[in-house]
Amino acid sequence: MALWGMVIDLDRCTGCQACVMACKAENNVPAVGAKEARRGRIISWMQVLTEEEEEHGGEVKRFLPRPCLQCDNPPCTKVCPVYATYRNPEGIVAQIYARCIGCRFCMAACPYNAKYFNWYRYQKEAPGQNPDVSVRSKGVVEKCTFCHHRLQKARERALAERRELAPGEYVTACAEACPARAIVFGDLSDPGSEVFRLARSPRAFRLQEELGTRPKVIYLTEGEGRG
Amino acid sequence: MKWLAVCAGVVVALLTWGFWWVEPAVKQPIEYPHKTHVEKLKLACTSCHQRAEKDAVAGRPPTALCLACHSGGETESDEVKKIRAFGEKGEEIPWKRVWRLPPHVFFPHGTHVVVAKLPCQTCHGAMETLDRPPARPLRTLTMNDCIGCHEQWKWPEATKEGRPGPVSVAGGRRIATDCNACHR
Amino acid sequence: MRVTRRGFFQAAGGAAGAAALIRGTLAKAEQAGEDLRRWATPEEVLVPSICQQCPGGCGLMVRTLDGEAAGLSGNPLHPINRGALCPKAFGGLQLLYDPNRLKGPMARAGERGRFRPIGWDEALSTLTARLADLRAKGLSHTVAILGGQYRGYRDTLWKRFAEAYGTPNYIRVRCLPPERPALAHQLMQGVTTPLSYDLGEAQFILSFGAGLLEAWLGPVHVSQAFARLRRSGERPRGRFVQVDPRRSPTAVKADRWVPIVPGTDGILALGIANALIREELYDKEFIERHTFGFDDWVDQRGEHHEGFKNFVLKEYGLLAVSAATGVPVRTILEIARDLGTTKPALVIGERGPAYGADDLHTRMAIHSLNALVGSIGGRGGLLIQGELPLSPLPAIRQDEAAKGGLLHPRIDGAGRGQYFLASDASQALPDRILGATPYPINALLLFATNPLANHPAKEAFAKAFDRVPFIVSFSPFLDESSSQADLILPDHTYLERWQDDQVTHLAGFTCFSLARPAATPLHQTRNTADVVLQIAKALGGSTGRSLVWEKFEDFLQERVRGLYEAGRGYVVSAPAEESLRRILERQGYWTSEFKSYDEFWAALGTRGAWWDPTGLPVSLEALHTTPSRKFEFYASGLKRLVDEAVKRDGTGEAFVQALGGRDRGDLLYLPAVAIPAVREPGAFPLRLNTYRLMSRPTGGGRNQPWLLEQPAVHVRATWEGWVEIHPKTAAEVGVKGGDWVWVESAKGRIRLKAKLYAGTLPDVIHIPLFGGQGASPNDLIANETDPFRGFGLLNTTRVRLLKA
Repeated sequence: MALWGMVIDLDRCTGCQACVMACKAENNVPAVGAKEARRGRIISWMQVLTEEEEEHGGEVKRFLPRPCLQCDNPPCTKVCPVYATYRNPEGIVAQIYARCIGCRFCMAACPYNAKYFNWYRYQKEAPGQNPDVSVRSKGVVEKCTFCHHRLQKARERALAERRELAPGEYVTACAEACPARAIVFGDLSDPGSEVFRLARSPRAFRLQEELGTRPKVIYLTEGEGRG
Repeated sequence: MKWLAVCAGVVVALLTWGFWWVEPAVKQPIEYPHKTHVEKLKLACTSCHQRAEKDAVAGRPPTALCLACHSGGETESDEVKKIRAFGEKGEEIPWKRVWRLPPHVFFPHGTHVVVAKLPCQTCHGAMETLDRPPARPLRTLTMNDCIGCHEQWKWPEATKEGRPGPVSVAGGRRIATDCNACHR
Repeated sequence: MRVTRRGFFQAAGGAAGAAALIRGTLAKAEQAGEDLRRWATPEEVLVPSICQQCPGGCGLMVRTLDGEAAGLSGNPLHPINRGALCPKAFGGLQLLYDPNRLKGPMARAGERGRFRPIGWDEALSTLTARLADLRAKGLSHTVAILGGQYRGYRDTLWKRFAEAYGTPNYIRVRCLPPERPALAHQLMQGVTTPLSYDLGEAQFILSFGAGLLEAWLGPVHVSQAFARLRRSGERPRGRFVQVDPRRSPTAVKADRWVPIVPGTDGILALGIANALIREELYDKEFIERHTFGFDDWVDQRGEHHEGFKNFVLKEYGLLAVSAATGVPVRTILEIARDLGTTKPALVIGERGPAYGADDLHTRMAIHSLNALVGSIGGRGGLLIQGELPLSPLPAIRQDEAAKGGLLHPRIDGAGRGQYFLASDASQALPDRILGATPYPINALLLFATNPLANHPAKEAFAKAFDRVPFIVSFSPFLDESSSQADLILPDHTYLERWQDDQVTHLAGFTCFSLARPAATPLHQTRNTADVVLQIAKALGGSTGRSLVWEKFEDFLQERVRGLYEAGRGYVVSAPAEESLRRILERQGYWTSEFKSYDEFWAALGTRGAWWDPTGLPVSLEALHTTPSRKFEFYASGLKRLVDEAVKRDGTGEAFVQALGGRDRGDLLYLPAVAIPAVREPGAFPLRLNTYRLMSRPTGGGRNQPWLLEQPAVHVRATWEGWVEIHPKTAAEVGVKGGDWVWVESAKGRIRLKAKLYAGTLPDVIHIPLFGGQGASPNDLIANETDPFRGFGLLNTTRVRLLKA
């Protein structure tokens, strides 16, 4: 069984936010408007964080794109009272909107702030949206799903053609858009895949590893290091 | 007690309102008789609903497809004349939607029709008995209907034509009951 | 009454259930009401298109469902972006579906700013009648066409229209003409097309303030090259130095950020040149064989001229340079050593907005570094672009009216006096319209430009607009400028129309992109290119004879035939196929993939682009078409132009004054940037630096909520505009992050949110052009003009801060 994962090379990342906007278009993520944004309610499944240098008065040191890290030991699923979020057999931490009751326990539990709440019904169904992704209603939590609707479609295509899912057939929108090719997506359990190789690079690290969350989004540090 | 009774009254009123409110009847532009086409002419559902075999959505039959049979010769039927009128204007017949899939559900018709070889009636009911287009769905499905089938259904044994597809493709199980397989 | 626990829960549960039911049914009713068309649509189709959010020209694939655009991705075959995109591209969807788009043509009703909807026939006949009337009266030259930032055949068509109709006033309003070479490159190297930069192969890049990874020419292409510079299997990690007053995202990603006093880039470049020469790190062979004016020389009349070498050694000592630029001597030396010892190295001196008052010489100074390290005409260096073999247009057959109109000088003064070398001088335009010098403007056509908001001389434009009796806008939106129009004939947005793009700037290869309409037009709008053809036809005369095509599509199809017949290049295809063809071509075999032009045209429409990756003219001879056929440190071409100007204008005084004055002698033609005297801070102690954000498309993108909500990463901004202030400077005026501040210049003042940003020199504040909602820095920018580009200087204004 596949184990979907992502490697993000911070040496290549230019902080351009192509991934952020690609994600919004792909997943029908609404712009919440100026008033809501000021209250800190921007929804951004993929978000470019900055790391700042403390010595030089807070100069930006590097950019760090943060999707949902799809932990193998996710803290968010353990607190969900209704099984609306869980780790599925292929390692994707699913978010089932129809089940979600909006208690926001998972948001509190996530150490990476990767989950977002719909305080209002920010948008209706409208032309221009991706028909493969549902528009979330008010009162549910949403987050990056590794574009699993693309997996659904790719799998059906493979099934219709009576074949296995080919590597590279399922890629997230952010990885597809990234101009610096900093985001690589694939099957971490396939020794032939690029993510498998990169995840073992000496440059590889995971965010807040000490928490034991075992994220499947792996970062590669900047600098001269090999790999 | 009075307070509770008022509450109960309101609740009952609201509940019944919800109960009596049904979806409005759908009036189609053409009085299409499924019975004539399916029972009498022995046409398969997919002869007209062609996309059901290859796509996620079944789609409406294009006007051209209707005209493939209904274009030649004189006709007495007002309905056929209507179809021809649409054809002459180069318009698609504005069929209205009867079955609605909730937007958060991924349901690929293709897989269910071609790979699983489910009869259309499983979900759509006995459409072949209708002389007129249905005003509302013949069957109302819930998630239990999906799950019930997904739990029971066995991956078909290899036949002469070969297996319907590699087992691993369906998520490594016989058939997926993972929420993420259908919710989106 | 006693409320029991159980009763309470029952009642609450019941009420909640009822509420849920009602909500459910209401939601259903809503869905039934709007009846989405999608369920029954034909299969989804991917249509290639071209992103028009910036001059990069990336290829798009638009996912369409029965004419409805439902998603964008990069065109994987397109050589400019290879399937990748930048954040702006996705804003294109919101641009298309902007609820405030104009639904059809509008005519002024009463005073300016009030409109009534009209039909296309009425709109076209109104415009045609007006244009025909002016032409009949011999006033065709009093029609001015203002065009914004676009390229390709839409530009060609307008130019042709202007020439056939009989007006010299086709004026482009923009600070960057990407299809023309920078004047410095033209003068020093003799190029006639823009230089291209082999970024992907360079080992060391030194950039003077060009926002390479943000808003330079083609951010996607540069990002891809950057990724190769950083990590590629075949070679060591390349290095990259960014000189910039501000620690921009590009500077964050660079190996070294060199903060510099704004406008002193040229001095720093000459300081680096000094170090290169002093330490003998320059490419002696290249200098000897391929350059002119490096050493002292004697002209035909026996006069002695000082060469670049001695001039730089004498004038640009590192201490003086360091004092003027704020860059430590040690840093200058280190950059020079890196630059002189790493090959191939590239120096980039092409900034969108001008460097400062002496933009031409600054660019010359920066470009001379490329010659010093011999990076011209080689792999990983500067290349030259080929030209597209498109079918030429038939000659314009002008009648007497057209000839008469074209005899008049341009209203903006471009090509004469101080604007002798400028192709457009939009900065001077409003004053000349106001003064009716040399003649009044009777009609103004606005295409893809919004000067009342986006031009540094916006307040002058507003006054000038009042003076023009007839203004026509082709904007799809009711923006500041179109709302002052008398007639609006809204254009399609770019996903709805036929168009081409001819972007060749960065990569060096020639590339032609073609887009057919991806989405069915949402409103009663029309492709302005078609409208121009229609008007021309209705006008008749030489205008009608010169623009004979029914539709823009026909026009494109006729031009593109040249590509098919060129006997080179390919319609883009899968990489494997393409590499096979290239191997064959290297061995001398080129075969066409197509049997007929129709096949070629159809393939171009479904794949999106044609390109010719081979045959880049990189030989040194091809580069140097200057009078000496060498790279000229002493720009004899400029000398000749000055002499010409003197001959033409009598004294040529205005032009020579713009260059820096006759008393500068030889310095006029050398890359000499004067070291400015130390200035007292005065009433306006801070400098204003404006810059472009990665997230802002051409025109500002105020109708694209995704991009407005998350405009920048380096400061936490959302929706509102902001000003970046160094924490020390902020403390001096008692401002904290998030406070409102007044930024004041001699011209005006604006109120903005303060963002404390340590990545800057303390005496410089930074405001993005098109930062967000609210005030625009155009209200501050002093109306100083760059005489070589005819555009306002965006980074020379002095300001002060006040707590609001």
